[in-house]
Amino acid sequence: MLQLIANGIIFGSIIALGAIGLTMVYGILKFANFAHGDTMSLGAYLALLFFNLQLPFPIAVALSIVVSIAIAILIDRYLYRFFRKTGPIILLISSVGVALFLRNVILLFWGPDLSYYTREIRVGIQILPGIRLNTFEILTIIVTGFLIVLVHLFLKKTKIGKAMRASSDNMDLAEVVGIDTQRVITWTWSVGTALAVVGGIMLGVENGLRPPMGWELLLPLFAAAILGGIGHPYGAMAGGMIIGVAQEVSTGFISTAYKPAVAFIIMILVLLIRPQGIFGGSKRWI
Amino acid sequence: MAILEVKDLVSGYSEVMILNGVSIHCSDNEIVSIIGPNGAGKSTLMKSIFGLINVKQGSVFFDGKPITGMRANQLVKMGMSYVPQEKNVFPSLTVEENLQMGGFIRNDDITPSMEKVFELFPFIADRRKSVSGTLSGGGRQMLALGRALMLEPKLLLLDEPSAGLAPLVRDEIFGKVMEIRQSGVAILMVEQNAKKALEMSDRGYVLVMGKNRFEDTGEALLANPEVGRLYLGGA
Repeated sequence: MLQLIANGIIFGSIIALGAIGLTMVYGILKFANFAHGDTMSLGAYLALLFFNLQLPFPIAVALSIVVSIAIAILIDRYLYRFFRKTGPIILLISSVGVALFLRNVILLFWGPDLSYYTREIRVGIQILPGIRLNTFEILTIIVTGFLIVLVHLFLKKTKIGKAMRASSDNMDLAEVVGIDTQRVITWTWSVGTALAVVGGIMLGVENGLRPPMGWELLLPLFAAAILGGIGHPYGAMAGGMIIGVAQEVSTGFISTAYKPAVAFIIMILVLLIRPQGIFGGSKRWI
Repeated sequence: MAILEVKDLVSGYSEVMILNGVSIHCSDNEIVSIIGPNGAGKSTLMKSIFGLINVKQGSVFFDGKPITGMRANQLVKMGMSYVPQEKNVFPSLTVEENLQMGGFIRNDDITPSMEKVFELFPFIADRRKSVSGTLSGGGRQMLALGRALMLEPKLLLLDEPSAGLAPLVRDEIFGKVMEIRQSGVAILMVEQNAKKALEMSDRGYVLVMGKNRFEDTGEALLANPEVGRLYLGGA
């Protein structure tokens, strides 16, 4: 049981990192980005590409983040930007197109088979009685914690972070006030994509890389974002952890095949009982 | 010297023109009110000046420079601030953060400007760490005015500063507007509360059907029997 909770926290970290970006894009650009999961896959595969070029792993991760951000910003500039005035449904559908595009590009270059960063066998270490984690899993938890603190400081302390919260409140007013909203949008994609890439790489380390890995993660991502109140980064963090733990713990009682159903059930229950999410409702973004 | 000059402005939404040739001007250190019946195009005029609606014809000059068709983010850099009628604060940000956003384009130290705003509005100074969504309507209006002042503008555009406020709060806001004007900021104001607005204004315009029909000093407009009968509720 303790082991399942620990596994849930690791999976929850990955979901939380993805859900923060999903919820930020929703808050500021007002559309549900269905390509976010595939951004995670793309980041994971780009890291694999750089890692296979014999670069040290941290450098490969950093390069993957930079390239993924560049791609996300290019997609925004040359696709989403033209639909911004037309409404959220068109943006949503174009993001589904982007998702398919990214996944097929991955398939084209890397093929459908399972890939690995390394085939080394990772030995678990006894952390607490009943909990064994390997070094990468411990690192996952530490890095996620660090990134969450970083996002918090960014949103609360920096001028651009505050401008992001302001734009999420009211984009028109942000423009009237003189906030450079284009810069805010660029930052939103950058922060969201960077976190998604880190999450995608963690997933790849944990389970290996498959082209549909990110797409399949979309359901728990949305469940986490909705559970936390969509548009609220802190809600997404908490929502990610809850969904992660719930999915892993459920495997102690029911078949692992039902894991996605657990996320789905939580999402439906939240939408029925508290559609504004646990952190939503009070008009605050934070 | 006219800080703002609007010449024969034609503007509106897609095919429907709301303004059909409006010409107004506002001098340095002047407070000018635009009054008129609902649907006359008062707010549209404000938005057209501030680049939020595409102007079809005519021209706008600010401080002698043509600004027709310029976007809001360029205008704030030139020294023009606009306070929209509603939803004019960022509800999830604190009072202080709202003011910081008002000074977003400035790269210098904004603390002195912020202290000046707090001096003018002690009410929000006492709540500087509060989330602005929890403020009363009057508090939000003060914050919106304060936020616009963070740029130390030469001209302030106010769209119905008294909308939705209780009479006492309304008078307080009007008092603050007068104080702002005395500090040397020109003010162009659209008001539903015509009488009160004209009383405090140097000049006024009556906007009807997308054209300015009357132009005079505030006092003269108040005394004009036709304006009184048609637009000031017959008093």
